[in-house]
Amino acid sequence: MMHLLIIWRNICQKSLQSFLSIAVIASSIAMTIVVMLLSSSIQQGLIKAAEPFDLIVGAKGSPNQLVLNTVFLQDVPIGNISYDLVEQLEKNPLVESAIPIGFGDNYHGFRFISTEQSIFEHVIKNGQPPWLQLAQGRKFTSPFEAVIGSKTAVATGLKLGDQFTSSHGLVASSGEGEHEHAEKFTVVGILKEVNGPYDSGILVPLESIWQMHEHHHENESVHAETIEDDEHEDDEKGKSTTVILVKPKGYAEAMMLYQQFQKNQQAQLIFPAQVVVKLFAILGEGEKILQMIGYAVLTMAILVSAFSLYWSAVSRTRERAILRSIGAGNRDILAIVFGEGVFLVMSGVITGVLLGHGVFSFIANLLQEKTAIAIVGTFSMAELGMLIAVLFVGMIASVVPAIHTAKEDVANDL
Amino acid sequence: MLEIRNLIKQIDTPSGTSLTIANVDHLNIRSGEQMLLVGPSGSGKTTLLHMIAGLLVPTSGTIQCDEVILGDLSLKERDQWRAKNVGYIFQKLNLLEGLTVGENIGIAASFAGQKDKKKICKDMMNLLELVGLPDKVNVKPNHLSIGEQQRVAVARAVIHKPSLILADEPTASLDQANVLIVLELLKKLCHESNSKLLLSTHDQLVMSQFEHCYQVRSQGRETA
Repeated sequence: MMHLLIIWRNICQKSLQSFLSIAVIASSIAMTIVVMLLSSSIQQGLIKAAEPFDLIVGAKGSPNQLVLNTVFLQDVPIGNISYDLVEQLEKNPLVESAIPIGFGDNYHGFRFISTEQSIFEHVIKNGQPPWLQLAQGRKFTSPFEAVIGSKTAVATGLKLGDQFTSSHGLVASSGEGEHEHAEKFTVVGILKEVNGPYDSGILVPLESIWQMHEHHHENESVHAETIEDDEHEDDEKGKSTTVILVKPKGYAEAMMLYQQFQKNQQAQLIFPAQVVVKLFAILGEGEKILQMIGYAVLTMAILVSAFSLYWSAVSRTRERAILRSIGAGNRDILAIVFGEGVFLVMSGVITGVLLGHGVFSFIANLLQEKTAIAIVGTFSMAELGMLIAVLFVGMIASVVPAIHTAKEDVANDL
Repeated sequence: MLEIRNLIKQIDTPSGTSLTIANVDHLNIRSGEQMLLVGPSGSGKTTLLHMIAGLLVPTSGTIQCDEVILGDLSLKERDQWRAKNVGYIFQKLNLLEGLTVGENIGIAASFAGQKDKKKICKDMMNLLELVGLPDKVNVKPNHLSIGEQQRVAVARAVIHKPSLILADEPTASLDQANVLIVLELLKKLCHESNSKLLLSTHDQLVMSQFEHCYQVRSQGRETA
């Protein structure tokens, strides 16, 4: 008790020095935690977002763009493919299901996902509940009915029965010249949260889009031509979609399908998980550098703290001499100096953990809002290992001055 | 009784010779006796006090306090003996700046092995009354004058009722009025607890207040 009192009073007496020691340790730990959590959680978020997409068939072009567009609802589609391909895939014995997905319109920046009812039966793994489940209302059954994602509902305030119109293009534009379709959609269902980009989608029947754009082309003489109209060339020729979400019957069937599409001139088949892994490998280089910077800062912080603890202990020779003169033994001095070091290191570690997770949550929320990818940080073994290492080094840094001061001859300082 | 015989403290010099910094042939102080230690600066008064307190180990000679021969004690035993039996007062900067007046006094009792917090608190308040600072119990030392700090140091030195009080020029930083206050306090408290008092000084005013005196010889003699 007496030792704790002296430790506490010593720390309070040199409050600025103590605060700086804690701040140095805390900020470096926080930085390392943020880097570690972001890298692992973004990776997990990307993988989780890609899980529902076994195979994607889309127009020839960049597989990265295809994944960004289809899985993450980012970037622009490569182009459209004929709806005939959906029918062909449905008949293919290697395929369990083929679901068309089209992109091209938005409501206040929330993308329209034109598809078919079968998307509500799509499961990530056999035996699991469907990927997209309704929280309220029902599935769409006829054109111009819409089922909206959970985030779309919150952000737009749309409720069951509300009506809205779509704007042409993939992003919200408030400027003049924006083309808004005349047809009104009615919200008939709201999805449960899927912790992925599709929380920010608006699911509508594919037929709605076909009908809208047929109507659009009939009246194109009264509308100004836009670059985006190129996307509708296929519509003129016949029914089209942007991509097809394909569920193969098994791994071997998936590989055979891939072989079949190698010869296809109009469309390509990709494995989204592979593309995500490749994307992450590219991002991973940057992450490794950040992690190295984090570790370097952490090492420097430990060294600075060690020196700070050492000099703090060394600078209190007079106080220790007084303590010795009034009866404190070597063990008392050792306990006080060591306890002070441990207190500073522990305070730094606890503050760093809280700060690190706080900053991570803030960044994760921002990223989630922007990308709709679920970024969930958990307390990992790597983080635990890092904290144990810091505590261990911190304690050693506290023991050194403690032993040094316990051995010193205090008579000269009285 | 404190008995010192043939006590010598030598230190090694850079030139390889030994320098005698304290030399006491014979010194006796009985319980309750109050004695001055006088001598010029550098004569080894502080070194002698440190050796008696067990903070310095003599080169040769013996120090016996009551039944205990200090040379026979281990470092840990010396610490324990000092905590229980010695009250030490310095010239200045006696107190731990981070602790309050009350805590400065209380820890001396705790180091001496006293566990009853209520009793420590009561003794501490009595002593603060005695030294005229009852309202300063929660004040930090840097808010006190030097004279007040010395009075607190006196209270700290006697809270555990030590059998021996060592005071190393305790009045050197004080004005004349405070010198007399602190000396009166020391003498009174030593008398009440029947403690031996050994007080070093070269101040004539202090010398005039004591009957017994031990003259320390000038040191500084090098031997090969």
